[in-house]
Amino acid sequence: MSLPVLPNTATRKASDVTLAKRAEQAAKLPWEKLRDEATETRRDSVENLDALLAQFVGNAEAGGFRVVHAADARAAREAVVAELGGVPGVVIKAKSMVTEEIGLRHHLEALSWRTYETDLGEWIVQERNELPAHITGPAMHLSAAEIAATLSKVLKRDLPADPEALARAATEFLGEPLRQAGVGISGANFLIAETGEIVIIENEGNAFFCSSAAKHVVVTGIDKVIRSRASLPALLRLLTISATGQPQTVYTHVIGRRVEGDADRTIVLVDNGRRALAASEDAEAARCIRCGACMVACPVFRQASGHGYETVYPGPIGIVVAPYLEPGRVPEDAPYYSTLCGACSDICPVRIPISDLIARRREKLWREGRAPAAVRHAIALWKRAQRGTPDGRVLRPLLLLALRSKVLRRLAQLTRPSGRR
Amino acid sequence: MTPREIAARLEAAAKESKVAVRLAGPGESAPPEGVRDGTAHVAADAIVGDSAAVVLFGGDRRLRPILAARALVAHADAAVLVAGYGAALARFPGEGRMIAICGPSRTADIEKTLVVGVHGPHEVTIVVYGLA
Repeated sequence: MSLPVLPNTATRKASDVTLAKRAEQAAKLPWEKLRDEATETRRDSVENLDALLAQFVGNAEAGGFRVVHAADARAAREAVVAELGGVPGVVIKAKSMVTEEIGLRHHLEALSWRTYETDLGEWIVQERNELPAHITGPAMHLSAAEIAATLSKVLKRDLPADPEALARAATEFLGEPLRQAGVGISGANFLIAETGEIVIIENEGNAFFCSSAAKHVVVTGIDKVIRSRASLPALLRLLTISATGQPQTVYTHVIGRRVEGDADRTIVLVDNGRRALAASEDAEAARCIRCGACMVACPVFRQASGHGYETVYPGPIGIVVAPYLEPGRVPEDAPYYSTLCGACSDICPVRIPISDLIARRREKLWREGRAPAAVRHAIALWKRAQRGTPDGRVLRPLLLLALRSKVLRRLAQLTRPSGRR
Repeated sequence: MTPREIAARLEAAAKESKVAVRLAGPGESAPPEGVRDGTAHVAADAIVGDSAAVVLFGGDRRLRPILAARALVAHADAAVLVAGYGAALARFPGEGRMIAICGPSRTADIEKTLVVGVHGPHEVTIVVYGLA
């Protein structure tokens, strides 16, 4: 198995904070009722994906958006480049996992576009050439000291390991491109079929800048579509509280019909495996609203951080969706990066039975004889130890001793995820 | 819910969202919209009592200047107070953008430490007219 188990203290601490705040906010609301409502909304999205998308596209185009369909990552990258035009300049980006999935920033940089991630956490991992460690907390695996070392190098001055000082320095640095760039790229949290509106939530104000630049390109998955505005309040509550423990984000944008002076807007609708997921035995995972709660609740993620998974979408939900959205990156033994404890299923705001879906993938690997060698050997040894034969009677106490000792953990700590792209 | 009941919820929510709320005095009128001395004055299209969110409708020309301001003051007639986000959304005519601003911008991307005031206004105040 390639998943290391070196405890990442920063990830565990950040996860604890998020979980505590989430529980506090959820307790103030009819949480289970909201989950039921949102689950139905997202089930409708998955079951009626093509019809809702067609409705969204018709209304969005009538409202002045240009809509481009991209079947895969390459088509999506090309669509964005075509929208940006021929002369490379400065591009500001708001946080978007779809753009990570399609490798957009690296593609633009290779074409000489100066591309700035403008969400603080995303910018930090951009400067470290790492993948985000979590889908809503990209830099949650890093201590303030590690971030200070990175930003001191980038900004060419000594910065203290103080979150406020680091955030201020980053804000100052990113302010100029945010104010001046003519092109902004963002994702979308939801697409409303009945109105053709796009919904973006954020805390820092950077997505406000990106979405109001002269040219705004929205790059988003087709799975973000929902039927109507009526579903939005419950989804926003669940998403925000599950992701960060805040009752609501600072900025909630609903962008509708274009009016005089608005940004020239294009929506790139990315499939890249989403229709296949929605039509598969894992279709329930297509309900995901990308809150990342399953990650902070997962005992494996909390130890290994997102980089241990090697995929853009890490953690429990990543084990299920990454084979569809980023098949080239997924380690074959990924279904074993789970204890199957069910914490992910319990916390999922849209009731995806993540743990069951992982278990099914694991069973399939086992049946096909593709389970990791370490697992196969361990199970074979354990079976031998269970027998009443003389070697079994010797083996059993030795195995129990090994499991209780720190030797295995120390051995596993010899590897550590780099998170490098 | 009456505007007074919503205003009571607004004051409670405002503390959590780090928004200042005050009731305008009798005879006090809202100033014209615009950014003056680093403060953006806007006429709120809705105020959400549950979250103390300032809701504005309009195109980028009306809304983007807010990003350049250090402080945002939303002037709200009692008639625009609504209980929840859904009620505010129902009022959005669909032209341009609806933005709900729930306090000053913030980040907790570094060790989950809250830092208030990233891009856009660092202070948000709601002034409610017609309830004093």
